[in-house]
Amino acid sequence: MPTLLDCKSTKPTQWLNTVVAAFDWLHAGFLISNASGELLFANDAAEQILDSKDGLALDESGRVTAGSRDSIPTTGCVGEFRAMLTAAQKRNGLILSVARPSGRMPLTLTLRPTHRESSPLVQAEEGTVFVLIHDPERLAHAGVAGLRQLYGLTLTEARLANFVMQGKTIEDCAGLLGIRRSTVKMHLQNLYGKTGVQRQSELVSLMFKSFGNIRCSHQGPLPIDSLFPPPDQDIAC
Amino acid sequence: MSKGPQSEPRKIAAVARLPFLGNSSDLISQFLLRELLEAYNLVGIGLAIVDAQQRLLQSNRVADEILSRRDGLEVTSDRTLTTGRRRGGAAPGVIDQLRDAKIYYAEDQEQMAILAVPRPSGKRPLTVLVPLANLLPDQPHVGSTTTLVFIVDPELPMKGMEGHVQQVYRLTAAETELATLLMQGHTLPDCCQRMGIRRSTAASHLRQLFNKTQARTQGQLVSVLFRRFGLLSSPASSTNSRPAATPTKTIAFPSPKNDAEARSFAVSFIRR
Repeated sequence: MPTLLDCKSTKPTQWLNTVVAAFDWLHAGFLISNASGELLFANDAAEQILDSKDGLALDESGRVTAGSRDSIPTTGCVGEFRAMLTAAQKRNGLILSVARPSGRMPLTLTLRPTHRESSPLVQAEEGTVFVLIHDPERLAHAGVAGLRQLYGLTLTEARLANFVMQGKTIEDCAGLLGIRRSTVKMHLQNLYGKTGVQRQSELVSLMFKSFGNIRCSHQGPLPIDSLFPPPDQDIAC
Repeated sequence: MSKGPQSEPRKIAAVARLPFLGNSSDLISQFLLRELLEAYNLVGIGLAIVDAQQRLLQSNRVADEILSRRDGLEVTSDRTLTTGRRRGGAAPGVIDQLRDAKIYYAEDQEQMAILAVPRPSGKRPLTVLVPLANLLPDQPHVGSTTTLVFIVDPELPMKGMEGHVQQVYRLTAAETELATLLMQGHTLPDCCQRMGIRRSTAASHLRQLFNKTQARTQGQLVSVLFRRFGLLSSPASSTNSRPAATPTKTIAFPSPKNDAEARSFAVSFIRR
């Protein structure tokens, strides 16, 4: 028989605050919408993605719209997001890409119906869906302080590790750090030694697996444009 | 980006209108809590919520799996989250350890404190992350008695990733296998051995992968794949694949409206 731990010391409102705050440590966007696409809940990352109106956005009535460059603005886009929700409910989970008008890498959406059994009073037509949004252009960032703690890296090594995690080449890193290629290579060798890897791809893998999709600070997104300039394309939708 | 207690009411305003939640903060937090735990399951991050005494109040499936292995982190009989047994003394709680480490950056409290927890098995250490604000009980705006503990296992098997990668980039089966092996941190010679193919074959698969993902180096390829998918597992399979040996779920229902309601929620949580 499972024991229910008494946590009367925790006020319900406090508990709710804890839960809501916990969503914001997720690097991925998280939102809950009802079947007609109305936004019910969004974490910080999802709000930023919606605000950028690039692939996903909110219309005036608070409904989520999704659309590629070819979609007709507003109505067409709402329909597209609703079609995704319906498909997700039918198949009990769905993963798909959403193209972005800016031409940046597409968003990856994971849709899942929220748990029915947690809400016994819910009517069938009121199903809600949660959506997890991976934006490849929101920088993967392991943070400098965390890396220094975990692997005893120097400041330069930690910054370099973050650039490598973002898929930068040695040339890119040299430019970004303002040092020579040979110096980058030397730092990289030290990095390999301290983290116990042999290859650049292995280091990238380790960074992502050690920090998962978790934000190490609430500093917000880094200036994306400087690192991933969008291709010159007209914006529609 | 300003964070603070005032941002929460705004965020839950729309959820609170859901008829089945009846504007009750208990039901709302239960509803959100469950989706919260599942969201972290999907991205392969363990999430544990502990109280002021460092006792485990709630955990998601990934955390349960990590804790049940008792390899670095575990839960004692009084439900304290600790870093394992110590000879001749009580096991130190994880939060105490982070506090003792004094890894505070006074200027930036919106940060995570990070602890690497070594594992007896010799596997790569677990990463334990706790929001710094949770470690400083005297901060005026905190006042919360619960603490979030995020647990990341770098050696977590990446299940269910292949399907996404294959679908999105329209890869062949061999290309998919190579891509996922590289994501797991294997070197190219290592991948050849595991797949039973020659270097030249692997090189041609890799060229195709570069073409399809627009990456130029192996490092870029791995970075692109992680940025697009993180550690996503399959959204559909995660409901039914629950391992047998996991710690008991615990949850408190501070003030259910009536007995029947309390029972139905208790039952649904235990079933999970």
